[in-house]
Amino acid sequence: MIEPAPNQRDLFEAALALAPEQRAAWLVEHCSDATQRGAIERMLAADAGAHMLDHSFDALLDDIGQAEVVAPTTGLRIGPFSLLEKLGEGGSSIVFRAEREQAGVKQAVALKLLRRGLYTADEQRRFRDERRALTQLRHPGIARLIEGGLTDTGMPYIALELVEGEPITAHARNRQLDLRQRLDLFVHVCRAVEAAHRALIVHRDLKPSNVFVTHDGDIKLLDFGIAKLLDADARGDDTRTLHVPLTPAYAAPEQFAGGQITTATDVYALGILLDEMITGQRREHGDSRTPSSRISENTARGELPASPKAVRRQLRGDLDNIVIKATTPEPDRRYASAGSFADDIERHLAGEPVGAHPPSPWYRARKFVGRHRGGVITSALFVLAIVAALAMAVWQAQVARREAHRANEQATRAERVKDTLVSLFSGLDPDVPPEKRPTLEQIFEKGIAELRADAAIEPALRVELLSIAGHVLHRLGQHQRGLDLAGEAVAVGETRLPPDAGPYLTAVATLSHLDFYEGRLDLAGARLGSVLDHAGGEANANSGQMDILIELASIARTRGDLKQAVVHLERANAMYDRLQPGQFDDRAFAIRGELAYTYAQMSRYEQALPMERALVDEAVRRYGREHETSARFMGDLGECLTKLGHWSEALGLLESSGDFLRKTLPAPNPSFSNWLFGIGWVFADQELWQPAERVFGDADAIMIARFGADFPLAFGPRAWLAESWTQQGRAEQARAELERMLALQLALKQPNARAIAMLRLPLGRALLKLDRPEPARAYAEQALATFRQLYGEENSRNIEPLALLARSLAATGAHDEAMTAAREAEKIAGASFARGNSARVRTALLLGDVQRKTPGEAGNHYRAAIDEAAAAPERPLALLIEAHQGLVDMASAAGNSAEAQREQAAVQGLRREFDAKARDAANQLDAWLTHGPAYK
Amino acid sequence: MPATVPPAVDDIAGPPTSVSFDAVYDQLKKLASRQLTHGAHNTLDTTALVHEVYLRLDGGRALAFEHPGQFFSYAARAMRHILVDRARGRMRQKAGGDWVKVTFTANAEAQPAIESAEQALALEEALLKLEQTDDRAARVVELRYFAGLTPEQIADVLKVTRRTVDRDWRYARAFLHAALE
Repeated sequence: MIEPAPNQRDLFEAALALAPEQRAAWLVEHCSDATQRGAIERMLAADAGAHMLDHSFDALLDDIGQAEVVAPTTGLRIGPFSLLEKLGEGGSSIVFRAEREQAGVKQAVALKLLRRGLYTADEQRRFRDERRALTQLRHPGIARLIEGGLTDTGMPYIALELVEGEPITAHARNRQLDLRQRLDLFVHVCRAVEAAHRALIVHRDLKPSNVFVTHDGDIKLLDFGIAKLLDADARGDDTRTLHVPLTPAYAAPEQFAGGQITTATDVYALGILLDEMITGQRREHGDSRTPSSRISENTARGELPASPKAVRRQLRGDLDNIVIKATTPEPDRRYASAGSFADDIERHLAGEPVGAHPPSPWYRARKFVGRHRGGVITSALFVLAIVAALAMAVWQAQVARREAHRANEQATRAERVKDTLVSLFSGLDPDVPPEKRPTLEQIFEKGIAELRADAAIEPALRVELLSIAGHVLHRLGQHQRGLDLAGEAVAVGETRLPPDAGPYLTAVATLSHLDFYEGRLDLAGARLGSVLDHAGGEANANSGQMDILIELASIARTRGDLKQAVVHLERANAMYDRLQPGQFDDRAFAIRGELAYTYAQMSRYEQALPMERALVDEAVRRYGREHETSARFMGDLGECLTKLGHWSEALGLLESSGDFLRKTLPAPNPSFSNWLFGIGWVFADQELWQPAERVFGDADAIMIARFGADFPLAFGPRAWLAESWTQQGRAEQARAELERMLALQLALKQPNARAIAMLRLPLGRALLKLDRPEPARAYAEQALATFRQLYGEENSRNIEPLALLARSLAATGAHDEAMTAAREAEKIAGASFARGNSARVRTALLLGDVQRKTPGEAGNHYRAAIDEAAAAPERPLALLIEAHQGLVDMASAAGNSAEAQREQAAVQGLRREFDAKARDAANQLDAWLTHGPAYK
Repeated sequence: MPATVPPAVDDIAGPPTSVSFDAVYDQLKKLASRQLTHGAHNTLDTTALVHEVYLRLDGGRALAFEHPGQFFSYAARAMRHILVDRARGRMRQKAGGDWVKVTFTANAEAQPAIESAEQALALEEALLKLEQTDDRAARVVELRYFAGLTPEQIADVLKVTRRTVDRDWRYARAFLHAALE
């Protein structure tokens, strides 16, 4: 076995433990590598000797000394300029009066020579970019940047407009300006700063020595943007080092804290400057007293605009508040701009009420309690939340763009919002052209990187933000990245949070949701189940538990276990009602949308209806009628209304959602198929088979265009199309097509039991019409077994197969068995639906039809059907015709010709009414489908 | 809390509780005032320079320390940067490439200053190597040499035993010295 090479440190320490004379021999024995042995021997020698590290670090620093730059002498040429005389010297630069000759004209400038060289290509590029932006800043109150450049050795210089004058504070003192004059002058300063801010340039280092008053009394701001120009690293390098010494008295807190430098940073400095101009003293950093309370009797004469007592009186109130507002530590509580700062001072001068108020006690308390940390977290959350919302908007816009030209407007709006946010997030960068701005994904990745880097974010929030990030990235199409982040959220939650913590549970739900989309149902289901077991149950109900239940429900529903899905969703909904009574947020949308939809799938329409109505109301309130979400819920509500007999209302909703779909989606699109399907049901339920055939036909055509004629999962519309053939006397055509579809469906590797049952029912009805009751009965029994298994014994879905079964049995003469099936259908209909529902009318008719051999009994059932129909929301004309026709037949059979005639007259009246209605419906549908944007 | 701690630190980092904070702070302040006497930065005052030193701590971000130990780590890192910066400045002057003429303020003789600068840069290079093989030992050097912490304080900051600190120091010291030879 080969021993691993011994570690250098182990060898060193082992040798050190020996007596010095033994070490050499020991090393030869234990270290075969001569190079390593040499290194260790050198280290052992060094250990014994004296060492620079034994001396103080200060001494070494002292020895090196400060390499002090001394200004070059007069006459030296820098670029096109020759230096004339030194004007001043600062920590980072020396300023000269210099001149250049251009076309025989001498131009005098203030030439600023920077001490710090720019050595890397990046640094130099940034310098040039920044300089270009500043050259374009033109305002009479701002000293112009004339030129800038780099010497051959990489030392930067800047030529500025030469300003002859004095700092504003000296000016105020020397001219003995009174308070009003000082404020007037200061307003001019603000206006100049405002102009620069509009050009997206922040000064960063406003102070009296940069605010000059010329001999003519005009304001000139110096060094605008120069601080950033010098701060080569300010653009967000990893190693952010401030090379520009700030002037602490005027620097805003965010400059110390490494926060974002914005226009509010200049507002702060302006506030300190105003303070100094009106109190005659520079405010100490951190002194939060009001200006009036700092006026001292000892202030030198001339510094103050008036006597100490008078100034104190003049400042108390408005001016105190104005200064305090401008110098608030939190940037977002200051004046929004230099302009609004100036406006407030002008209001004060005009004797109008100012916008600044003394800070509230609540604000002061909040400021005292952990201001910094809270601020960081809130803003991080805020940014992510906005980006998440925005990502959705852009994602939707992208989808729409792919699918429709009409969505351009929406996309443009999303782009505009994005641009605004980009400028917010990336600071004020005037020289970044739009095409170089970061993409949404880049901003998002930046947000994630900051989230990872910020150790101050507590675990719960971290887990929450990571989940959001994972979800959004997944929706943006970066599936693996989304899964990774969601996985990270779960991992952090597992180690740092209790197993019943809401954010942890939500993270697990998110991860499972993504797994679910990737088709890993088993994995997702198992994870959700085991987490829910430890979530603390109802006693510890929280939003995370609800999220877990929602995901469990969608997995159950996908597997066809609607009962289980309802159990999960009802539990989640009860939790929601208990925790957030009366509310309707996104989570409520998710829970109730799923629950209502699942009820409807189980034919529990009475339960679904109020929920669907609430969902549509809320969606319309939130998004307006013309929105994807509103359209979807309208479609669901339409189906519910149809099944409950509110046909007109259903049609109105479907028309409305159709208008939206046709405006936004290009044809053909499967979404239209669903919509047409919904309309078809409205007609089919009224036995208006002609218009029904048209829309089912259109829906089928769309599916064929998209999936071909033999794709089993797209058979829905064609099954109903076939039904409309059967009902209009083309049963043989229907039988052939339905048998073909059934064969294709059965040939699937994983045949869908529900789909098969949905084909067997119309096939059975077609066969019955063709006088083949035996196979019809078999199909009815098979469908019934499937539905019983899927939805339970008492589900209203069972009515349809029970009816077919009863009719088939009756046709074969099995009267008693037919009655049993019909009675069961009646029982279920009675329990599932309110009085007047068409299912109840139909089962009454069924009972009559099955008992035609005993006319008295049958007649009672037909009359019961008519009674029932009277309670319907809209008159079911076709069913009434059937009922009255039944009474005609029974009266004739009983020899009661008077009654038969009476009933016959009723039938004729109803038929006229029905025919008129059918014509109207066909015309209306034609007008509706022919006009407006295409859908197929 | 001594009155000398500038408000910026008090505001942002929260009140430092450890006595050693004051020691490090004093050292920073001492450094700053030395820079003042040696330099010709007549527009800056001591407070400004102390602030500058603070600001060099990762652009001020690090002022929101998670625990006091973090502060020492950053302070030591800042000192190390200052040494390297200054040494590089000196070396640039030796190269004579810049347009500025440079004179010496600390020492009358130029040569010892340049030698010290070379030494400082060699130390930096050796420290980078040590960081690659034994990061903790390198941190012990930073805290002891650059921030002036005692072994006990270092043990506290790094959350290791005093004995480990001693071993790390001995190894690092020999490693660096051998590398500098």
